Amino acid sequence: MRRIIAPLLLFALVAAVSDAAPRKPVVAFGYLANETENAAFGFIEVIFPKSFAHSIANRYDVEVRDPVEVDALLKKSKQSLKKSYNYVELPELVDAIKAEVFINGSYAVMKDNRIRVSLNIFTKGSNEVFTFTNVDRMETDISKIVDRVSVIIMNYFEEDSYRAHEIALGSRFGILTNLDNLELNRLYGAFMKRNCPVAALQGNHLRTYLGDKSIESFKYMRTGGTSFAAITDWRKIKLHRGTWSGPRRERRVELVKRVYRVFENDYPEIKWNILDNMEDAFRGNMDYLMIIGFSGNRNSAWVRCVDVRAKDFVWMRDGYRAGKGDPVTSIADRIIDSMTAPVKNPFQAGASGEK
Amino acid sequence: MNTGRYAALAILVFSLSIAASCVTKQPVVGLRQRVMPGSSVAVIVDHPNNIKNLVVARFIGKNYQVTAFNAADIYEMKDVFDIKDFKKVSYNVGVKDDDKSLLAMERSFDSIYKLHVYNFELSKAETLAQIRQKWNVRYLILLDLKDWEDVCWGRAISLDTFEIVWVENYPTRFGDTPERIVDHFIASMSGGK
Repeated sequence: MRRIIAPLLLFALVAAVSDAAPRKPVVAFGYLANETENAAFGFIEVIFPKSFAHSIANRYDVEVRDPVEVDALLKKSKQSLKKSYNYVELPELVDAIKAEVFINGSYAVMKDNRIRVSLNIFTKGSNEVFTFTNVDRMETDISKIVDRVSVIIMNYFEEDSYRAHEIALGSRFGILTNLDNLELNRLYGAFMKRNCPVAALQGNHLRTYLGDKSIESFKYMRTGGTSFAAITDWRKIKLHRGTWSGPRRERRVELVKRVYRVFENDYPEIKWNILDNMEDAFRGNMDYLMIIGFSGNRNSAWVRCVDVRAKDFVWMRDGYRAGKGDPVTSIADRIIDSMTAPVKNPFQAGASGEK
Repeated sequence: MNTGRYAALAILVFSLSIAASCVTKQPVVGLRQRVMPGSSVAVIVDHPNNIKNLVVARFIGKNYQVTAFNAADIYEMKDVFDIKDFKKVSYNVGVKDDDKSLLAMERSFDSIYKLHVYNFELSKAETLAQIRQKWNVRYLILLDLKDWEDVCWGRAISLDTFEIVWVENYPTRFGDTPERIVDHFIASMSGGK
């Protein structure tokens, strides 16, 4: 059971054993803001979330609320449903609408007959927002687009997993991980055995500098279209200053503010510039940057993966568990199995997918 | 009764640690491209000079063209910039001490740390490219030799493709000498074993 399904089940269980009338967990939908210049596509704003809500209700034993219902709920407390929300507003919003999961986003119909759909998924209490962007053909049948995007939502719900596409064997990986050198060789050995060339990213060093704690920094990842981010409320940061503080302290406060501004707001751009340079330095010999975070006992791991050329966050998955034998090799095998498996489609009966 | 239970627990823990130790000491070999004698190589070992000389001598003896690097490390992380300084400064300026402030600060720190790591990897990649261009080295070989009952490891990187072409974890056997271990690694990376 995974990141979202587990809280939903827990909620259902608590509701069932409590004295109050049992209530199903609530998945609420906000608008999908129309970012197309042509207003003729505005009608999809409500149709999309309603359709997604319908898909979810068909699959899970949850109560869904479409944007109209959510707006009506908010009106009771003299608020209204906005077209878009900053991440920091989401925890308060789910409290106000008494929902366990909130999904909203945007779409734009593009000139080359394609459509971009971006969704944010926030689970109450998680302090994490998963955002993904799907760009594909603009179908005349809206339900096909809904199915396409719903597959991504459900894989995230059920598998703690997002994959933009399958990753072929033979792709070249630069791997960052928190393993020591002997373990790193076991990881590399497993990849090499499965015909996955490994670029000498971390392995060109005699010492491992990424530890079990520092690798956790890489768990959250931001790109233009897809991201998995922790919510931080910058408005609530208070830097103490006053008449007592003096010019030296003022300078330090300003310095820290500037550093925050640069490394918070400009972070994605700086990162992509570095990755651009890295791609040049590796002369095109690295297709994907893969970050694998192992637990301290090496029995579990998570993966994040970026397409270096497309600058796209293409894959994330949590909860890999080691099987028999060497845990590092076992997890590496499972990672390779899952990256090459077809993306699972929960709508197709008996559909194969990542394990 | 309790003593028996503790003894059983101790035996279980001991057995598990032995099992874990056996797993970590298993040999590993991966070879995607042979590093043949005659190739131009740079060998990086972090050992005293007498051992370094011994290692280089074994490679020369097997007809490799060895470029000397006085390299405990050819690149140091602290050369990029010292990330810890920022963390210290940011905490010292008196950010309000509550969970949300600290969380936001941690995220900034994480961002800087990640950029630092990416930059470090970029610097290393550029250094490898320079080694290839300036000294015409085709393979970078990293070796770490260990005592008996420990595990030695080695790795070879093609500087043409930046690919890791050979890895090996070699559990040291009774009677192994540094010469024998280096010879074993050379045979392994050249496809002789």
